[in-house]
Amino acid sequence: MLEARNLTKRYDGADAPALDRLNLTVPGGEVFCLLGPNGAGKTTTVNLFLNFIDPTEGQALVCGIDAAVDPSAARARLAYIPEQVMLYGALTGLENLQYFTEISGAEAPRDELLSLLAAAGLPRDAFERPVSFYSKGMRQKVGVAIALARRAQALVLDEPTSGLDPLAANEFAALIERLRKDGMAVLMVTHDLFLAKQCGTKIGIMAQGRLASVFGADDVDHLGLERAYLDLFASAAA
Amino acid sequence: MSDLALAPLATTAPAKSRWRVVRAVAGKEWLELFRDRRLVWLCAFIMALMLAALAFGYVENARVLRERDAAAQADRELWVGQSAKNPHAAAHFGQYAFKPLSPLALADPGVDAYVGSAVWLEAHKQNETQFKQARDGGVGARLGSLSLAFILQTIAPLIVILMGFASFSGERESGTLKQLLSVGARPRDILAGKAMALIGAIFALLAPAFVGAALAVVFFVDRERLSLADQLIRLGALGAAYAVYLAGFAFLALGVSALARSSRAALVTLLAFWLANSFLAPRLATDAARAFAPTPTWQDFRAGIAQDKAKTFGHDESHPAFVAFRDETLKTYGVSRIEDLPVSFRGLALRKDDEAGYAIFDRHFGALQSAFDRQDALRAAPGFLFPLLALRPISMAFAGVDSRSQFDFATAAEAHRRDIQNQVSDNLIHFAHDNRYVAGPELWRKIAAFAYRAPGAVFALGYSALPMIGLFAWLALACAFALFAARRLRPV
Amino acid sequence: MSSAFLSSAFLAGMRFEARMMRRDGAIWFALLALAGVALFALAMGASRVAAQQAAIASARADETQRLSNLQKTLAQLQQGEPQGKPAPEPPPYRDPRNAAFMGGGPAAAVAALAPAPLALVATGQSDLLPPAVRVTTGSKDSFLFADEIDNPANLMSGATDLAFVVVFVYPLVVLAMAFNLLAGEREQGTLAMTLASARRPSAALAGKLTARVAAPIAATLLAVAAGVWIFAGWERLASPGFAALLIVVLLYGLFWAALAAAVDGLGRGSAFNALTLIGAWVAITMILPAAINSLAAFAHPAPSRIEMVLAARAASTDADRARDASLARYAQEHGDAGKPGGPQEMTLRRLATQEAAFQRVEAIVAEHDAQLARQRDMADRLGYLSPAYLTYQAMADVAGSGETRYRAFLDRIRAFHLDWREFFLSRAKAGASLTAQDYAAMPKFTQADEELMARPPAGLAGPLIGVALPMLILAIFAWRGFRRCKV
Repeated sequence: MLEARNLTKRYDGADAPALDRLNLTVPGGEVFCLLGPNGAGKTTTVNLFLNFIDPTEGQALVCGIDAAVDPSAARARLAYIPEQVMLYGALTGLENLQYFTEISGAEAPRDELLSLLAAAGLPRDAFERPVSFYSKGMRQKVGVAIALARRAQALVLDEPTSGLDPLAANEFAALIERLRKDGMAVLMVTHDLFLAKQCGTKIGIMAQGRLASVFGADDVDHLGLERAYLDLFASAAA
Repeated sequence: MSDLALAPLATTAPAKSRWRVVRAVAGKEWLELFRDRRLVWLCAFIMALMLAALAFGYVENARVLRERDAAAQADRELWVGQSAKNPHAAAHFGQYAFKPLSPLALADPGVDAYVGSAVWLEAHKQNETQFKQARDGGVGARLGSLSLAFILQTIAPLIVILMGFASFSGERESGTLKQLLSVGARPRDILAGKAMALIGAIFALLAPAFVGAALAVVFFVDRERLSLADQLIRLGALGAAYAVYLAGFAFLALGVSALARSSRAALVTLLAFWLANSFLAPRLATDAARAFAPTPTWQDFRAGIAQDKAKTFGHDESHPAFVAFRDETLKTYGVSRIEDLPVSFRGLALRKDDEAGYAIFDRHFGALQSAFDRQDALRAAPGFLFPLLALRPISMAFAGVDSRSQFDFATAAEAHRRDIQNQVSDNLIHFAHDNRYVAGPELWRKIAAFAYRAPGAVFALGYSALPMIGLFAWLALACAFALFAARRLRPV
Repeated sequence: MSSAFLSSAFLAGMRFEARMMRRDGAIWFALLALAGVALFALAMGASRVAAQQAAIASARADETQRLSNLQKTLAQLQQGEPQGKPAPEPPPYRDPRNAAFMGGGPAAAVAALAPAPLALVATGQSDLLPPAVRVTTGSKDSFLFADEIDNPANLMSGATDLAFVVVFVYPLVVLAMAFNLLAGEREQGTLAMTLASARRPSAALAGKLTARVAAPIAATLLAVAAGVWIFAGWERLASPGFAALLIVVLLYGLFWAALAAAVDGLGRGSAFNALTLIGAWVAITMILPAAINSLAAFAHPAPSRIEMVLAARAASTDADRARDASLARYAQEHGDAGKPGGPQEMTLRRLATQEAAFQRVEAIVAEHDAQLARQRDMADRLGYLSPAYLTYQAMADVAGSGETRYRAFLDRIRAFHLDWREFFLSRAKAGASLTAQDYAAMPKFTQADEELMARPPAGLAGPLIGVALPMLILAIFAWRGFRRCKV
């Protein structure tokens, strides 16, 4: 499970903090979708959970472990799929999966990894092709397979469906639903309102480093979500 | 016609506006180079290095000059201080000739450390020069020492590459090249402007070094023995040669930058060329020169001379040539016995033997120098592609530190040796009435010491034709390449 | 458990990086080019060694020829007497019975320094110091400084030998492979994945680095082994000198790898890494050695060798004057009768000159050697600033073409020179003629070849430590940089 307690990040030379006392909780079996415009602090939140940066105040906890204090233990429980899943172009999809699994310390025989790739939706004939030939959607599926192979308890996603066609986005949503049912805590950062409504259990809207509003995904319909989103930023811009 | 109609556009841009473009580009490039802190520090460091190299060179030159002057004086005293003895014995004692130091050796030490500085002028033998300084250095000394030539030949092109490799490719990557081309600037004009700035930067880098060298030469040159004007002309020629060399690198860097897909690719290509030019080409060319134009070993060389000299009679009175000469002399003077000759037969025989020897030595040493010249020509031949191979011989020739200058000294020393022999023989011929004849200090004083006047700059010009053609061809090729690359300039 | 785990991340990094490298044509090209250049350099070295051996053989053949000619003439002279018809008396400088003149030239012994077993590895000073010297009874200045004929521009350019390839070209390939690990992964985007996925990302990255630097180092070591085998025979591979050579090449490569990793660990971009490392290469292989040599020469200038010659000439003039003075006194006391003249006079003059010159020249040579030793010591000490300088010297020592071995040779010559002079001058002073037995008993310069093969090059410990220590320090910096690396 993922928890942010008074999480604050101030960058050097900036007047306002990028993240201002963020508090949120994502228990297992829940998908928390974080929405907001550019510069709202969504990517900063992701980076803090992964300990790519250190917080100025507060804590980012992964299954109770402070990511800043013990990053490797925190990362052991956390899987990450970035917006651009960067893999080694000269290796095949399977080899990339093997490599990242091995360096994570997880044991994974070849058959299991093959079945993970299939479960992630990667077409079979692509397994042994170099990643330099993959489409974005295919690379993302490898990213999912890596997350699955690591048997992480929490998953952080950054703009997962940007650049995907509707069919691929749909496949992705179905995959996230399966993961949620398996008990994973999922934090998803996205611009895609429809995806948030489709996948998420809770939706949070961030603005200027703060969590402006949080509500259950079922509590609002698509139009209502859109209106809430736009109202928030019209008032902010005014 | 409506007043909105426009006048027809000129088909070619007027020359004045083209020049404005060039100037604008040059000005902006210059400013950018100037503002790049790292580059400025680097250039300052290189300048300091050059001045340090000049200082080392000056001190070393002064020391060597003092040593050689002292040695020449000491040897003169020994020669003049000989006791009364048979002049031929004095000829065997001989004199030493010391190679004077070229003042510009402080900028380019050339092959000075690899040639001998002294040659023994003794009777019957033309000797090679002795005491190469490089023999006394350790292995590490073969890695070179800090000289202006070393820095300008090897490090300066690297600086030029660093200044120029991202010239076009960097602009392409940052998007400003698109802007530049879209406002109508022609690639050629952009190239001209960038080249102007880069070459201007090169001059700014070279100027302090050459001013320093000029000052050092002015302080160093002994006006009585050498012409200051000649030294400054030589220095000017050196400056021109290095300017051509580095300008070629400037055009090469700009051309590669224009053609390359990325700045990184441009840098890798230019560095590979720099490595090949500075390290691989000289050594491989030397190996090729040795392989295709080999020189004889010392043993074979001396054996060849000995074989030819066996035909002369030397001191061997049973030699058929000696007998023939004796008979001929007797006939010439119309006497039947040596004792009746009005002059010393021993003297005549010595002179005859010496003259026979001179022809032999000229042939062999001349052939050896021709072999060296062939090797040098082979080595300089690829100079249009690898300009260091063309620049080095030019630099050494004008600094007076190449093997041709050495050969000129050796020839002059040999001429002096022959003069000594001739004077001794003449003395013997006219005054040696018996075997107990001895000459005294008057004769020793009469025979002058070796005085060598180094040749002028025209001498260096004379045999540097091939490398100079190569160097200019390098500049022309680099220029042509840059123009070709500019024509194919892609904005993205 | 954690160490096993650590090694699995490390091994995974190494394995997969090797797999990617195998698929990159440019890397194959670079490695093959490096190996090719190393093999070419060894081939050139082998041909140079063959030429040296030919020169020694030719000098020995000439010595044998000279001696046999002299012995033949001697036999003729001795035979001529019993026949009643005396053979024409040769002048003293061609008389094989004349001890003073024969030892001074015609019967001169050849002292040769055979190329060491691994001489093909480095030219060192061997192109300047002729391997065969003709030892005479004269003073050292007359025979020790003979030169082989070579175009001075050739000597200045230097030869293509393995030492050059290892010191200058090999580091560039190592740098090219290692400079871009962290920076490239960061720019490529895979560093984020690695940091997110791995428990000990630094172990995986270290594995990758190992794969990248092991390739050029292994390629060079293999090429060196192959070249030595092909051009010098497989027995050389078993010698301690060869083991020393491999260690030198390995340590030098590791130094550059550590430097590249340390710069990479600073966390800047690949452009910064490339430019910094190029600058470091230029500084360490070119500027520092040149500055070291200039400083050492400035602080302890080389002696003027002409001093020896002038001393020998002054000695000969003084000896002449002394001889003339004693002759004059003799003539005064005894009148013209009984004055020694002709050939014996020449012989005695020559003896006196040689005696006087020898003493003075020995003193000067000793002084010169001390001066040069001071320069060399300073250069050696300053050399620790540049691993390139140390490695170049170490390779010359392994090849036996540095000044260490040559100085040992000069020491042997010094002892032999004394024996040689003793043999001839004692007979000359006693007025004895050389006989056929004397020719058979003349001192010969031999060299214990076995000791050459068996003895490992001494004095390598210093240079090896001088390269290993900075390498370890840089490796520590690199490790810390890798541990701290951020996206």
